Amino acid sequence: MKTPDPGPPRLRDAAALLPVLGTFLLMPPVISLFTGQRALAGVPLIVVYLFGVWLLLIVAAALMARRLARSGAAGPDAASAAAGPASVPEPTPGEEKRAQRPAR
Amino acid sequence: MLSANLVLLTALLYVALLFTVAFVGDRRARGGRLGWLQSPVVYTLSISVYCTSWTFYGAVGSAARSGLEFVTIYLGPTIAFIGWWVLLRKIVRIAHAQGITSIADMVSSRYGKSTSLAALVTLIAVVSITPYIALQLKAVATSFQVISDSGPDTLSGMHGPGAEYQIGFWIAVGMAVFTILFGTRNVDAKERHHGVVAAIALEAVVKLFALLAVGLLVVFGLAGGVGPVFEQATPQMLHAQEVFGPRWVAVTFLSAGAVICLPRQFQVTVVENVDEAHLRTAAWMFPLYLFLLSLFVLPIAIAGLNYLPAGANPDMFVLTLPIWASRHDIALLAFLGGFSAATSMVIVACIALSTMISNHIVMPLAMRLRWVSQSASGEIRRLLLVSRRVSICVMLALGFAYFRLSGNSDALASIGLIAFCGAAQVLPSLIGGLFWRQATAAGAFAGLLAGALLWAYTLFLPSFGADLVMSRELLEHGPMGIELLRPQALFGLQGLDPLLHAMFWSLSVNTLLFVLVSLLREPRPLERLQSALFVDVFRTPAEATAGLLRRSAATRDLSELAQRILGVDQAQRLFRRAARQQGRGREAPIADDAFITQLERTLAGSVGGASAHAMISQVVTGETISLDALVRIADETQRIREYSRQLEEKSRQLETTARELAQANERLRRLDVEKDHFLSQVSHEVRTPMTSIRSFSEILLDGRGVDPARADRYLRIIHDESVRLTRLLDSTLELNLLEHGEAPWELAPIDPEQVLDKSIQVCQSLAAASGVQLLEGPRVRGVTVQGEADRLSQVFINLIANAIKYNTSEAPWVRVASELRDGRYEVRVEDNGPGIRADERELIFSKFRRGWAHMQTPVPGAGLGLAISWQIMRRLGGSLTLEDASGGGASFRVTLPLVRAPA
Repeated sequence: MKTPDPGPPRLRDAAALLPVLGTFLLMPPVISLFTGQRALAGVPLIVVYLFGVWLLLIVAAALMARRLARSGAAGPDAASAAAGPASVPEPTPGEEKRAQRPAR
Repeated sequence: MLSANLVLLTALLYVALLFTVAFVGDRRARGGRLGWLQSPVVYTLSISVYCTSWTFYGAVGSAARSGLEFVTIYLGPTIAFIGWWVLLRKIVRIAHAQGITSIADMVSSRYGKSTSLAALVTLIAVVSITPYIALQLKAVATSFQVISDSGPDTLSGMHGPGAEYQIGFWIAVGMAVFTILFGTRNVDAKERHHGVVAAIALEAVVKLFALLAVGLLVVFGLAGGVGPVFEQATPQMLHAQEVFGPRWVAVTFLSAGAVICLPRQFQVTVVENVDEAHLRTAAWMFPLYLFLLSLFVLPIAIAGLNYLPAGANPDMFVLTLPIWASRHDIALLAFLGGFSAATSMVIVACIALSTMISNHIVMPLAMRLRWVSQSASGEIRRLLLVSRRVSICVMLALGFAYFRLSGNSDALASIGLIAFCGAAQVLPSLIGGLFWRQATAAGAFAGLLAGALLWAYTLFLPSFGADLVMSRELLEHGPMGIELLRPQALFGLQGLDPLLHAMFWSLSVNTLLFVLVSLLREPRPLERLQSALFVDVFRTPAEATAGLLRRSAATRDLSELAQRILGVDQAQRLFRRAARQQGRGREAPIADDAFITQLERTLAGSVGGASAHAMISQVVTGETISLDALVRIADETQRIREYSRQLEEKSRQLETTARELAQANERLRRLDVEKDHFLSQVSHEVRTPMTSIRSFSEILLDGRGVDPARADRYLRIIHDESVRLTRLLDSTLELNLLEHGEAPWELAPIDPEQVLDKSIQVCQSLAAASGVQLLEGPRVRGVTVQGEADRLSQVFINLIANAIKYNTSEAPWVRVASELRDGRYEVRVEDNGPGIRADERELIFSKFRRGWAHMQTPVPGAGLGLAISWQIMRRLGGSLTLEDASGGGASFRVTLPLVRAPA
C-alpha cells in the first residue's frame, strides 16, 4: 500500500525541522541580539555566535543523518511485522492449511 | 616576485595533472573499478563546485567591504543541505525514478513533459550563466596577472591592461577541450562523468587546502594568533549593526535556492548522484566544507586591510597577502586554488548547459524540422553528442566575448548574485511542483516567463552599466520617459538595493502568476499523472504506477527508435534484458505498458523527458491515461478510503474463513461420531455370529449327551455363522477398497438393460420365496452406457433384494422401470413397503445403516449393501439417490451417463 519512510516519526520530524531552527537562529531578529561590542577570547561575540551556531547545525545534521541511516535499515521490516490483524485468533497448526485456502 | 613563465608552467602542470586524474578516473570507471570514485566523500567534494573563483577571491573582498555579509552565500546552502530530508531527498528520489537529466528536464517532466517549459528554463540558464563563465575567465586572467606582475603596484591587486585577454582565451580553449574530452563521452546524461568528477574532487581539495594555507599563514604567521587578528579590526569593519537587514535574509534565501537550482549544482547534486545514501553524508559534510572555507575569510580580510597599501583590491587579498609576506609558495598555491575554483565551475556549468541545450532546444528543433533521418541507427546519438560539443564551444566563446566586451569595467563583479537571482526564477515552479498537485504547465510557464523578463529588465541588463545594453536615458528616466517603468525603480519602488528590488519584483510576480494561472484550469491528464508521481514519490510504489499510462506499439518500431538514440549495441542489450525479465529468452520482448515506460525512461536519460515522450508518442498508438487509477494514487482521502476498504475486505474474508472452519469442524465431529458408530456396529455384527459359534462349539466340545443329529445341526449353524462372518468381513473390505481404492476401473460400453434383466432374473426366486410380486415397469431399450457389468449388476441386485426383503406390506410388490431423462439413463426401483423415515434419509447410504432399522425386522444383513452400492455408482460416474415414492414406499434411482442414445 505504502512504502514506509525510514526512521521513527520523531526523528523524521526532527530532520525536517532542523533547517527551520537554523533559519530562526541565523536570521534577524535573533541574530541581532548578539551584535554587541563584547568579545570572547578576543573574537567578537557575533563572529563566535555565527560560526558556533553554524558548527552546531552541522553536528546536529551529522548525528541525525547517522541515526536515520541506522534506523533506515530496520524500518521496512518493523513495519511489515506489525501489519497482521490482531483481532483474529491464531489458527492451530492443524487448521492452518485449511484456513489459508479460502483466503486466496 | 614570481616570473610569468614559472606561474604559467605551474598552471600547465596543474592542468596536465587534472587531465591525468580525469583520464585515470575514466579508465577506472570503465574497468568497473569504481572504488573511491563512488564514495560519498567524492560526491560531497564535487558539490563544492558551488564555490567558484567568485567565492574564493570575492568572499574576502566582500568581507573587507561589508563585513559579515559574505557568510550569507554559505549559510543558504548550509540550511538547504541540513534540510536535505525535506527537499533534496525528494528531488533526488524523483530524479532517479524519472531519469532526470537537468533542472530544465526536472521542471518540464513535472509539468507533463512540456517541451516549451524545458526550452524556457534552458534559455534562462544560458543567459544568466554565460556572464558567470566570463567572470571565471576574468578572475583567472586577473589573478595570473597579479601573481606574475613584476611592476611596482603588484600589491594593489589591480589588473593592468592588455595581456590578460590572451590568458583568458587560452583558459577558455583548455576548458573546452577538457569538457569535450571528459564531459561528452556518453550520450546518457544519467551516466556519471567519472573522470570529470574525479578532477573536480581534486580541485575541491586544492581550493580548500589553498584557502586554509593562506588563512593559517595570516593568522599564525603574520598576526600571531586569532585574538591579535581581531584586535586589528575596527569595530565598524564587521558592519554588525546594519548587516542583518533585508539583504541578509534575501541573499541567504537566494543562495539556498541557487545551490539547488543552478544548473551546475543540479548536475552534481542530483543528476550525478548514484546513491541516495550519499546525500545523507553530503548533508553535513558539504556545510562543513563551506564552514572550513569561510573560517579564515575574516582574518584574511582584516589582515589585508591592515598590511596592504590603502586602495589595494580586496578581491585579490588571498593572492597579494602571501606575496606581501614573501611566501611565494603559498601565493602560488592560492593562485592554483582560485584557478581550480574557476575551472571546476566552468567545466560543470558547460556540461550541464550543453546537455540542456542539446536535449531541450536542439532535439525538439531536430524533430520538428526533420533534421534526422528516420532509419539510420545512432543518428540521434551523433546529433546529441555533436550539439553538446558545439554548445560547449559556443558557450565558452560567448563567455570570452562577454569578458572581452566588458573589459576593465566592474560589470562582471556582481554577476554571481545576479545569476543566483536568475536561477531562483525556477524555484516557485520547482517547489510548487514538488508539493502542490494542482500546479500546471501553463502556470509554471507564465510565472517563469514573467519572472525571467522582470529579472532581465530590472537586474541583468542594467548590471552591464549604462550605455552598454541599456542607454543611460532609459536607466534614469524609464523607456520613452515613463518614470514608472524605470528598470531600477519599477512602479516607483525606490530606495531599495537593486538586487532586492529585482528579486522582489521578479519572484513575487513569478509566484503570483504561477499560482493564479495554475488555478485557472484543471491540469491535463499527463500533467496530473506526473504531478502524482512527483508529489507522492515516497508514497507511490513503483508497481502502482505501472498501469497508469496505457499504450501499445510494435516492438520493431520501438527497437528502431532505441537504436537511433542509443546506438545498436546498447539498444540490443536493453531489449535482451527486457526479454529476459519477461521470461521470453531469446525472443523479442513484448511491448507492454511496463516495457514502453521503461524504454521511455531510458531514452529520457539521453534526450530528456520531453523529447523522449514526443519520440515514443510517434510510434505508439492509443495513449490513454487511466483516470481512475490516477485518482486512486493521487487523492489522499481516496487513498485512505481505499486502505480501509481493503481492511474491510480482509476482515470479511477472515469472517468467511472462520465460518468455513466452524462448518468443517462440525463435519469432522459428525464423521467422528459416525466412525464410533461404525466401530460399535462392526463389533456388534461380528459379536452375534461369534457368540453362537462359541456357544455351539462349547456344547460340541462337551461331547456328552449330544446325539449325532443334533450335533450335525449345531455344526451347520456354526458353519452358517462363519460364512456370515466371512461375508461381513468381505463386505467391509470391499467397501474399504471402494472408498479408498486407487486403481481406476476399466469401464467399457455396455448395455445396462441386459444387466438389469439378468439381475431381475436372479431375484425372481427370492421374490417368489418371500411372496413379493416383482413387477416390470416401462423400459427403455438399445441404450449404451459406460460401465462394468458385474458391478452394476451388484447394485441392481442389492436394491431389488432390499426392496423384497424389507417389504412388510399386505400385498407386497416391487417395480423396476428404466427411462431416459436429461441425457442420462435412469433405473427406478420402487416398492410399497414401509418406506424410509425422513430423519434416516440423509444417512441411508452410510455404513451399517439399514433404512428399515426402526422396524426391528429379523432379516439378516450387515447394513453395508447400500453403502457399497452408493460407492460403486460414484465410481462408475453415476449416482444413487433416494426419492419420494408414489406408492408410499421407498424409491431408489440409479443414473448413469449415456454413451449412445437409442437409435
